[in-house]
Amino acid sequence: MFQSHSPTATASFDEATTALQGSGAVLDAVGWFLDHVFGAGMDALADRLGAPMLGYPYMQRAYLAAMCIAVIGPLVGTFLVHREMAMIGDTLAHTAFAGVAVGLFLNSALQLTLSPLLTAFVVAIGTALLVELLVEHAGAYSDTSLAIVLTGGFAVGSILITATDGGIAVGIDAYLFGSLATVSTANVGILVSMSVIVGGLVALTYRPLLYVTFDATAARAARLHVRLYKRLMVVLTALVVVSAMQIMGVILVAAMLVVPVAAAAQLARSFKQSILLGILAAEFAAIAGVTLSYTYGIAAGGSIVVTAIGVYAVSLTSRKLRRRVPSHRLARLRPGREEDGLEADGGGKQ
Amino acid sequence: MTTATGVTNGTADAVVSVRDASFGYGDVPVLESVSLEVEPGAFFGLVGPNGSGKSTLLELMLGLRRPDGGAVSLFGEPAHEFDAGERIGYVAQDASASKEMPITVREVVEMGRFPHVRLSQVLADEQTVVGALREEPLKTLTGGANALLGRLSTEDRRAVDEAMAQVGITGLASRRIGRLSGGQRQRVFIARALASEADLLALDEPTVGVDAESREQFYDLLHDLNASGLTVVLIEHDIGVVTTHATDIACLNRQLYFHGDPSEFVRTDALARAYGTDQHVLQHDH
Repeated sequence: MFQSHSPTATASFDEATTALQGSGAVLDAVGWFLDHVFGAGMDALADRLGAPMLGYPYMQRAYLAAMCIAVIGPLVGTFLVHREMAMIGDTLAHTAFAGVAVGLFLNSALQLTLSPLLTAFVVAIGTALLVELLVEHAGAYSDTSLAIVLTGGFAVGSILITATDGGIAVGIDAYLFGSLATVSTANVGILVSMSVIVGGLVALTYRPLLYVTFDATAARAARLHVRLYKRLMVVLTALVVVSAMQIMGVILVAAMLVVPVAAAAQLARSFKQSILLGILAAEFAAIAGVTLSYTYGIAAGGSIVVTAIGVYAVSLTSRKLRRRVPSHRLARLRPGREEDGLEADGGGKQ
Repeated sequence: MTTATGVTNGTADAVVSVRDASFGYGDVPVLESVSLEVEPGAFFGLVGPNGSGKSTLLELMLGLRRPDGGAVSLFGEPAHEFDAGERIGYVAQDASASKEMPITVREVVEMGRFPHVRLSQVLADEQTVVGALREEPLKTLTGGANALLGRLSTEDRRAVDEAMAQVGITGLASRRIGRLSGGQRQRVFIARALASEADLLALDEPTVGVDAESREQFYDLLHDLNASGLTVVLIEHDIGVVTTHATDIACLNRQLYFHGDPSEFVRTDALARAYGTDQHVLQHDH
């Protein structure tokens, strides 16, 4: 079955997520949506396909959560991958783990009731901005410094978890590997809210983000606030990995920012198309992964990632095969198309 | 040392004016007491050996860096405070970040319009939001929504089409830029500057790795654009290209060894002194 972990962990996550919701309005709205819209649709689908699993409320929550991750992962990941910053997601996920540990440790040591998810957001966003400041100072991303931050975050997390009273009982594997079986309405609420926030921010800043991703120096010459957009990009990454971490797990969450994007890049003709194809690939992986996880009783995060890698392999192969078809045969297949490469080189003189 | 914010005393209408500028990375001096001017409509060629500070000087001229001493002005304003980004076009050495990035030629050229869809561009000079809403409610609202979402207007799209036609890449509009040749790619970046309606086009060794024939076509295109009034600043390692096309030449190796007319440049020993070896200029015949 699903990744197992102790009830204590579930309880702490639920407390965490519920506390983070603040007012219950969002939670109520998501609960209503889950029951009356998404749930009703899934119930109908369960009847039609004769697949009762689609009707179970905990499976419906799992599907909706995974589908939200499949939207925001590639949406932000497309910019990261093409800025050659694929590792930042992994780095931030590992420091978010330290953030969870900080929350649990402070609660235990100082008798506080902080939400570990809140401390995870704070630590991940703080690290994101710190990494970006280091890059601004050094001028380039360095593998070495990312590796130090990644392992450092994880090391601090593991120390704090073991130093916390009852820390081991919290179930370290719940954070490391994530779980779909225990997705609460509050978890789904956070993911739905993040989808709206991240989606909205990307929609508002799409063009400058694209310019900065493609050609940061020219963007600076055109007087765009390049540093601001770069910082926004890493903060968005922190938001995505922290909100998806509980389901995908610290170790695998970054895959959703990278693998579907790499698959889409093989076939997409434009940047917009690559975002859409990335989301489609991720949705396929999410739905197939959750289904496989339930059917065979295997880890959900792992199933989603392996499916996504399968999609990547298929798109890579299909691109290679397409390239092996000689171009003159393609031209004959499409008689209306001009040999535009020749035209551009020869006919450009004004 | 004077401050970078000091008012320049260069010619009022110069596109770029550099006054006694110096710059260093930490303790390493890169530029020492450089002064020059780029007049409107000039084709300004900047030559010098590798590591001579050419790219740094270009960055100072565009306001991307501030000088440690001296002053740089761009269109009459301190360069680093200048914010009309649409007036500047920049083409780097093989600029596309990653050739694997799935982005079309049109998407790249459209970037030239981004500075035009800013919220501040919706309002005419001295106009307030309330005033604009009262005078032209529909135009202000649609313009504001477009600016907020970064959507291009019909006028923006027309500028993009015209720019692509001008450099002869209309047929490539939906191609991925990573799949083009080096020469075609650099034309795309020129088109981006033209779509922006830039007054100044700055290029940093744009034809490295481009084959000889495409290079010649590329420089002919630059020549024609300059003849139609565009001010061009070009960093180029091929001195022959610069002496053929430029109207002004600056020869740099940390300090300025020459600044003036190309015909004069080939008669001086500035090149030999800047490069520290015996250099001869090979004139290209066109």
